[in-house]
Amino acid sequence: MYDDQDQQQQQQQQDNYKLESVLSPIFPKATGLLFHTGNTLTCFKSVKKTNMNATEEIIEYISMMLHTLRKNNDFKQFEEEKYVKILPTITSDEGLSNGNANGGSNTTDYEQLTREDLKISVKIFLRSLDPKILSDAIETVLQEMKENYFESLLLSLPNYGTKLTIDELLPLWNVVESYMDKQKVLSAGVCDFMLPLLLELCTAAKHKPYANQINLGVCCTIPEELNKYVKENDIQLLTHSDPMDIINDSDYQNSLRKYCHEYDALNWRPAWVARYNSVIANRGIIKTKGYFVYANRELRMT
Amino acid sequence: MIEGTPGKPYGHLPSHFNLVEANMRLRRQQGQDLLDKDEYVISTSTFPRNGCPKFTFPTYAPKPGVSASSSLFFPDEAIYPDHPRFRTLTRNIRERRKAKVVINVPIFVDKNTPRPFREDLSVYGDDNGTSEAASVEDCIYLDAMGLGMGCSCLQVTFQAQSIDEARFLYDQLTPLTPIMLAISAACPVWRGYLADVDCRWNILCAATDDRTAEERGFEPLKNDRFLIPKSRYSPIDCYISPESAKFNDIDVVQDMDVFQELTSNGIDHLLAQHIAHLFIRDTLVLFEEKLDLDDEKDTEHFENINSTNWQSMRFKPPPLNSNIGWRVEFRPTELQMTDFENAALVTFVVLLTRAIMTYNLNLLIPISNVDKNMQFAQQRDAIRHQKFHFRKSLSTGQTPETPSMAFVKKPLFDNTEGESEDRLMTVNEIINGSDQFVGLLNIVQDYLNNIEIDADTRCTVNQYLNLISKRAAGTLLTNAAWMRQFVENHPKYKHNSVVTDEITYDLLWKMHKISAGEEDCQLVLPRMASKTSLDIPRAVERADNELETKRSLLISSTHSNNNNTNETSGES
Repeated sequence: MYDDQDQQQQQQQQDNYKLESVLSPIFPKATGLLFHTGNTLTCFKSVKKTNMNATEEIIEYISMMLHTLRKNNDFKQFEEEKYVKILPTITSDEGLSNGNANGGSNTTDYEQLTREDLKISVKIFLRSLDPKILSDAIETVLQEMKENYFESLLLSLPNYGTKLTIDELLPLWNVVESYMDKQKVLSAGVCDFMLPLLLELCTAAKHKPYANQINLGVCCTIPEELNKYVKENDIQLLTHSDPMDIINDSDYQNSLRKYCHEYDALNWRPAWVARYNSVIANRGIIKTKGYFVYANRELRMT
Repeated sequence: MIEGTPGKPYGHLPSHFNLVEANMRLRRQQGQDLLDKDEYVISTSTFPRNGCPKFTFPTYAPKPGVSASSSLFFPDEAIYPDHPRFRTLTRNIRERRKAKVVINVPIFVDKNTPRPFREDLSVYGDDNGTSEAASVEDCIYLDAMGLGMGCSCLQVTFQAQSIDEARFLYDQLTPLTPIMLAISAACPVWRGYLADVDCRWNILCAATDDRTAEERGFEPLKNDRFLIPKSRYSPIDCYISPESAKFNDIDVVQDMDVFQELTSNGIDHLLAQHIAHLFIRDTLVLFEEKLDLDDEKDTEHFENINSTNWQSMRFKPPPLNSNIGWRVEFRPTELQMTDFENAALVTFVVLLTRAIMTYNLNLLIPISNVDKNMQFAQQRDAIRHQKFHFRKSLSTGQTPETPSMAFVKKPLFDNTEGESEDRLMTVNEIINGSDQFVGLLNIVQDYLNNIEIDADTRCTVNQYLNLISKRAAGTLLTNAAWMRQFVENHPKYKHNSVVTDEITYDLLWKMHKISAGEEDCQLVLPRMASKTSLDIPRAVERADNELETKRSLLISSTHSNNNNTNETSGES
């Protein structure tokens, strides 16, 4: 079976890194940690499982990035940092629109894609209701992707937004609206909303959501009321298969623990995750897909 | 046989996949509305009793020796009378060939089928024994173009972004042609007999075969230019993208004058070869008004030849002075009895093209293996019993490392030098995957999970993919297998391979009910409940329009900013 030898080698290497355990913490002063996977549609590292959900994907990518870090033994850069950014090894200077280098059998290589050819969509998963975290998230994504705007932003709230009140929601939505006013986000939607929350939002909002993204499991059995409401109000119902909590504290910390010093894994709490993709507009070809994962923590000693 | 196409092409949004079924249903309804009481538009690939005595209404007797086809079974009156094309094709094919077309379909040998099976053809009219000589033992003998071209099928044409993309997709879809043929198999009955094949393809190849005896290799070449291994209706003979050259492993007969003219004018060898191969054929039909055309302004002469090469794929250059674009036509699929199934097959093929381009996949195998697959595909219940050559690893240098694509990747330790890049797989493995192969459906699902797709469309598409999955796994029957079962279980069937008028009537009536949604057919398809509609959701259309407006405003303001910058720096 084709993967056996490869798998064994990888396991061996992983074990080696474990054996030469990290003698001291890699980022002892860090209180903020950002992972950016880069375009996962072109990264050449081996991933074994199929049909992963978003959580498994994220954990897998974080592990891959930490593994690379360990392999390259490049820790000095983080020793003093309070905000650690673990970024893709291949950075693109012109945002997403640099084409692939060589010909190959992919015809989209024959074209030079510009920003206008692409539609960028971002889904932000918040693990709290703090509006400041949301605006930090949007800023970070724009900045790290070196983009001036994206076409679509979808907002996903803790627990699929159940038990959320309009008073908790509005400050968050206002953040989104401010980015729409600045034309940094061209359209925005929500996730997993049912009536009455959706109705309350549409009533109170300056910019109504253009879409409500619901779980794939219910796409064939949408409540009649909701269906009627979205049709009457020109709101698209989109689908996702993301879990209620995109990544929890312990899974996140365990990923760190595997590749770093014990101290490096302490206290981290993922604050937000963003998944982005870009599609060649009008042709339905996905060009990029990636994740950002941001976590923070408090340290007892500086 | 009526060919219907949508009034305008489906658009580019995922929501447009949700329109296909409703549009198909509308077209058939519009045809149905023009008919009288007790007349029905039937959605099926072949009328099981085409060519049987009195198979038309009103009835007409064939006139062998005198008619356009000279057929023992097919009267001229069954050829569409209001346009000269089909009668002319029929006559010209026969005259060029200097004989009737010869089609021998292996008969399905049942308990009471006479052994050997040989019809006494003299009861159909005397033709000096030529039919007798052409017929083969244990086969159902057919002898007219109409008995092949009177079939229906399902074709999907799509526009590519450029000529390069069109050539790329033409090639990438070619290895799928036998697979889709097997999945859609719907023709187990020919001229009132149960056959040992489930598909129309070989019958069509023979029904339009205008090759002379010299061209077929039965006489030394004297009057004709080439020895030609295949009929002008056939699976394709070569890939057409430069990167695919190494997979062209069969001889391609070409008109070398055409080849030289093309290559000396800058056309690359692969494309020149393709065109030069099309042009080995003579014109079959030419109308006086189209004889003297300015080839600089009119592509009709090219279309004349291109459209009478009936192949599993067709590469379609745009006509001059139009923005219709480079198109690719996928042609092997048989017609299913419901719009749901037909939409499912079309949707699957188009989604695959998106996934192939997103994930930079390569499906190519030697073209000789595709030919072999085309023969496997037509065997009785091929979907369950046959194995097909399929590429082992679909990855290329640029296949991404998403979790599902990992399975697609070539092994890092590749000690497969010299080993072939393809192996035999069942349709189940190709579609649903295994622990050694990713499965085309998994690739498509991965793609769908990453695009913005509205819930109704996703619901519909999921149901389509579910149908294909189950059919590939054998838990749902193909149309052909079900039709066979219907015949076998019919109280009047005598287990002698004969499908009588009465059995045919009952079969078609049942199919009509299923097609109209009045009855279920759980053996063949799940209860039809897609969310298809004639229009995309207003919300989707509006959002798309608004987005385009905002984007174009942003883009134009970016450009004017750039202009300002240039002017400033110029002055300083």
